[in-house]
Amino acid sequence: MSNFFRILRFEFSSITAKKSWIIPTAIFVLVALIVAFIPQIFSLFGSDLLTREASDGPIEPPKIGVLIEAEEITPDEIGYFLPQAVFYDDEADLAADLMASSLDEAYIIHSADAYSPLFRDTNIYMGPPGTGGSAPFEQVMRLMRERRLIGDALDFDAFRAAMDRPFESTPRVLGTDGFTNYGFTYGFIFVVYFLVIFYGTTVSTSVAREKSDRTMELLITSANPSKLFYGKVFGAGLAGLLQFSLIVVSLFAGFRLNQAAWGFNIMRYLDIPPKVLIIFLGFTLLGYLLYLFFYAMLGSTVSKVEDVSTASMPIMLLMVASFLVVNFSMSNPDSLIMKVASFIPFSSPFAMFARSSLGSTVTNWEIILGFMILLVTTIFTALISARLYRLGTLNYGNRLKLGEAIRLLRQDAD
Amino acid sequence: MRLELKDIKKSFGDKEILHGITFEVESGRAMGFLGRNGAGKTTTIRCLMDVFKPDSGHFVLDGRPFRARDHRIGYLPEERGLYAKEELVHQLVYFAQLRGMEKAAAKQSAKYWLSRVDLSEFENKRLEILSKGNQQKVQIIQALIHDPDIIILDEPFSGLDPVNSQVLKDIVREKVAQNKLVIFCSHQMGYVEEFCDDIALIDQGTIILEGDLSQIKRRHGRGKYRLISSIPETELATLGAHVLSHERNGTVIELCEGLTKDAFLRRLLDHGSDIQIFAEYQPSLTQVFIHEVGEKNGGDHE
Repeated sequence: MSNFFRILRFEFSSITAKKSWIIPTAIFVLVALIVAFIPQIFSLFGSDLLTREASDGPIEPPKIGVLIEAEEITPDEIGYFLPQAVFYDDEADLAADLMASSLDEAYIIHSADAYSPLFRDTNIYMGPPGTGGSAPFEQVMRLMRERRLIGDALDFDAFRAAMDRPFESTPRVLGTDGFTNYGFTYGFIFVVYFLVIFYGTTVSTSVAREKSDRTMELLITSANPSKLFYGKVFGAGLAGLLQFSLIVVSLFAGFRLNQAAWGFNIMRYLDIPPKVLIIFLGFTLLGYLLYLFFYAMLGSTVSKVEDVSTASMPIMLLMVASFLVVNFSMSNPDSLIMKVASFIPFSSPFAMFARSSLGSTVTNWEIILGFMILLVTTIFTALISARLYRLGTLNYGNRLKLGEAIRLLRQDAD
Repeated sequence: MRLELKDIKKSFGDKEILHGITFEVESGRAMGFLGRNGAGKTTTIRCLMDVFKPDSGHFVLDGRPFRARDHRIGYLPEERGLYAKEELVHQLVYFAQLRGMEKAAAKQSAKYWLSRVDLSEFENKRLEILSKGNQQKVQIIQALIHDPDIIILDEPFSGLDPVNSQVLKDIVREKVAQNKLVIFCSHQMGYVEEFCDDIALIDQGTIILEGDLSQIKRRHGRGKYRLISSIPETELATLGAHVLSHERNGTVIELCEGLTKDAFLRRLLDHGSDIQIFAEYQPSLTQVFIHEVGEKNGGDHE
């Protein structure tokens, strides 16, 4: 065997024989398998993961409700193109039937050139309200215009000009406006993600650094370790919040100031319903704190700064996984996977917010339950991690292993 | 104040590091806590400071259980650690405040101590730009800034030049004179010898020698004499003395049993050789240390 292979074998086995290589690899393999098996897994529960309602059988024409405000248009005219149309006199009835799903689509015709499609909920795949979803109806409006213009016997240029005049479509969303909410939801989920990534690492590094440069010894002999720990976590946490709120607020302020220059109604995409904002703030603050505690705890298990990244790998993976699951499920906010994610404390900061801003099935008790689970987990983690921090500070030199940590915690409790 | 350490034991994993440490320290008398590297000095101090919880044993101050957090303690850890990127006054005030000082008083005290050790010009500079010796002085200030009653200095002289060592010696003497309780850990025997009144010598987690330094020295020198003369070593044996060692300031001898100092001196004079010095021998602390530690280790191997 040549030296090259000896060296290769040595280097290879010295990497692959370590737990720090084996465990993440195993986790990734497992996750890969779980992802690949998702349809089978969910079929076990009798639920279709990827679609909210599976449509079977022959496709029926959509039930369309129409309210005509324009005097120049008659129900017969519409009936000619849309035989299945049902006509309403009262907008409230039309909206109620749409929400109750006895209608598939609903439109209000204001004039020959203006109409409003009504939406239960919108989502990102429908496009902005008034484009994708209502294109067939606009075609009907166009056909009616064409019929009228032919009757007017215009010359060709005038006919072309009249036909090309755009329709004025002002969509009304009765439920959750998933499309316009998509922008800020996406943005805010990234905010949480980066907040945790940046400041989690800051906290764990600062804990480990004080240990590696032994400032720790002066600190814990000068102040109560729990106070030190909480001071550290909240200090870094606040710094992060300040930084991110400054960025977000300036972004919003900037958009508001420049909305005219954007050429379209950009504020519509940043118009956050108060309830969604409250859910976002509640879940984000708690979730952020939960992650910071974890990062700090893991930082205190090592005594060298360069070990921090290895030590914080598990929580990092958990966070990235939560983020990705929610990110991929945003297009289908009412799916089972999103629902499950909105109760798990590590993913609920992302998922509950996304569900409530994009989906239509989240109920208040679900929000409260998810919040309580997150709150209890955060408090529990805070207490455990502060104690582990205290124990970790004693453990100069060696990396504190999980088993050892649990043993110490139990010993300390005695 | 009288601080007693009573039978302190501490293990890490299955290995017992401290096997029942017992000694006492009195205020107004500087105490030198000595030992080789890895003997258990720092572990003992960390147990005292409540960094580690001892497995068993007690700390008692004036008859009452002692808890570090209930007292004003100035602590200079063996492993130095301050914030490299913070300004001197800023972090000194922070540490003083953590130990219960008001901000204004802390600031005043920080400035006083910085000027005392000649670092005033750096008070608003970051620690990392200072030389190692100057950083060491800041570390020492950190231990003194809040006017502690108990001062624990772990290797305070490391990295200090002779001028700064003198400054520190003066400070320590001043604190001892103010009736503070001073514990001074070191393996640099010269400094300990110079101003410690009491010592405790630790080796492999056990106190092997403890007490008043001058008494210990006297005890170790008993029956030994220092001699500088023209008599060849071989002839000393015939006169009733055997040579223990050769030192820079003379030959150390021990007299045969039953031979008195006066009788031996008479034999020397009768021999007719030139005698420059014949005196009672007082070993240096280093010699006491080597003797004690070597004896114990030798004993262990048997």
